[in-house]
Amino acid sequence: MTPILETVDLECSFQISTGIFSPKKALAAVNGVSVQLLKGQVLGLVGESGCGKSTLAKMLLGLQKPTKGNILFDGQPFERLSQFERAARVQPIFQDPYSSLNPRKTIFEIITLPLSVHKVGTSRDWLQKAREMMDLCGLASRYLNSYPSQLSGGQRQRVAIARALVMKPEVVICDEPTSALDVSVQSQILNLLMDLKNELGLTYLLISHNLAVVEHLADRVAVMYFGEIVENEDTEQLFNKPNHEYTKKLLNSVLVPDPSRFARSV
Amino acid sequence: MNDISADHPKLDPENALRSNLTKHLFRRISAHNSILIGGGVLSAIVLMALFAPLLAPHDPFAQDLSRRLLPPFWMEDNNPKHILGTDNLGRDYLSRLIYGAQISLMIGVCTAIISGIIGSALGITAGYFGGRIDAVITFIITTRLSMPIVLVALAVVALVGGSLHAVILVLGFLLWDRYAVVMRSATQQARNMDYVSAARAIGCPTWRVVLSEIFPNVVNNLIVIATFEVAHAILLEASLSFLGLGVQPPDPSWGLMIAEGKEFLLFDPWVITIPGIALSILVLAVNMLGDGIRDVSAPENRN
Repeated sequence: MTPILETVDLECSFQISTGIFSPKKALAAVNGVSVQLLKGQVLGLVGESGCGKSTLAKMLLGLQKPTKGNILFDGQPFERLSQFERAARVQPIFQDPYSSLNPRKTIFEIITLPLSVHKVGTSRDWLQKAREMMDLCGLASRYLNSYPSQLSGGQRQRVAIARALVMKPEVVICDEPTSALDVSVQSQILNLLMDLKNELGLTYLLISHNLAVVEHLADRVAVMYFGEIVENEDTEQLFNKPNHEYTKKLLNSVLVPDPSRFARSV
Repeated sequence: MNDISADHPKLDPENALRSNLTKHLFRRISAHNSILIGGGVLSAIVLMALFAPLLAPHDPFAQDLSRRLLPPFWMEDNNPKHILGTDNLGRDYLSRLIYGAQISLMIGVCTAIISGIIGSALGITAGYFGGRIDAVITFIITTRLSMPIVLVALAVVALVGGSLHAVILVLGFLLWDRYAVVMRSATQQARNMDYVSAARAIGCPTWRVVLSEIFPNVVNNLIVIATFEVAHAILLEASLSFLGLGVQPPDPSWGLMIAEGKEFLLFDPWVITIPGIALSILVLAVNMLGDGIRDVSAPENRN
């Protein structure tokens, strides 16, 4: 299978000033990352906080320019696509549904923003489309004119998903889509994401801290450590026979109900 | 997963929640004393200014030297034709007070609009783009803050001559600092929200991100500062007029009326007291309204 989205030796570094007189230092947030997203698959991306997962996601969304390396979309270099074309094909779902929805806009305005920015259809079609998307994401259409503050966390995340999918993108970057939600709602949202993937043939990059979620959903898992991918394996392989020392530590750090029964050997 | 999608067929989804929200906001406003009092007094003054020709019992410019300095109604020897008495040229004080409201309000509102446009444009630009642009604009703000307003206003007005337009323009170009500072920090906060990233990931052009994602979330600050700046400008106009460099006689501005009354402070203190009280009430009302709007409109208070 051909990768739909691929990064080749992707690098992103930030200039950090360490004082007025000392020269600026480069901090490599992402350092030579090459990953492949296969069409219709879920690539899990795990790693500790600050290891560069979100920077990688930002570059894939076109929000951050890579300092080196390439992003290929369907074999084409990403820079050759405008932000407009990119937006129609890659869309994000953010971690915190409380900050990812503009509090001053109605749900209708939020969901149809991509349509109005890309000038797709008329406002009459938008209403139809918004209802369709809300239905698809399990939201009652009576929330059409509500404000985000009137919805619960899970409902907000459904709105965010509806907004991400309204342009029918091929790839969705889910940056910890459930970590801000209640445990009971988490599984609803994850199930919704999986249903939508099967229904619409989406490809996910699933960034998560929750290894159980990744193990359950991802086809492949990439482990990121200090800006580099240290291991990139099929999920089963990675969870059963981790190769890299860091992966082993990461898997070992998962809290289990009864450590004496579930202990994994290092 | 579909339990929340149970539709209520009876409910008209389009309008029910919106009217609910409006009702909610209305209830909060009607429960907020300072909005009611401030807004009530301010709208009374605005109406008085708008309908000045109908309300004023006399021509505010008509002099009658045989009736100069008639005392107001609560003192002896008052003339029932002139409820608030007459000034030193025999002009009806109530009429001048009513017409004076026009000038004070016009200066307050026009100044707040001009400085609001300058200040929020600078503040939002600095806050959104950051980096060098922010450094330059911060420098401009600091430069402006280091200039004493009254002194600069005096110098400029002395140079170009005092008139209503000159005062409005000078104050408008001087009072934008608070807008810029507040809008800058509000924009810095808003631009780091995920909805801004989401809009950019959708492909929104920068102007649209700023206008439709950031601006609606910082505009309540703008309204609050605007009310305070209206009060500020009215007071500054009064000081400029008091110093003889603001609105020129015979136009009846409240500050000018105070200035003209200072000669009579000892024997006819009401000449100063009446416009002074009017000015205090106006400034107080505007400030109370601003306080109230800030309380009611903060997004974190919504629901």
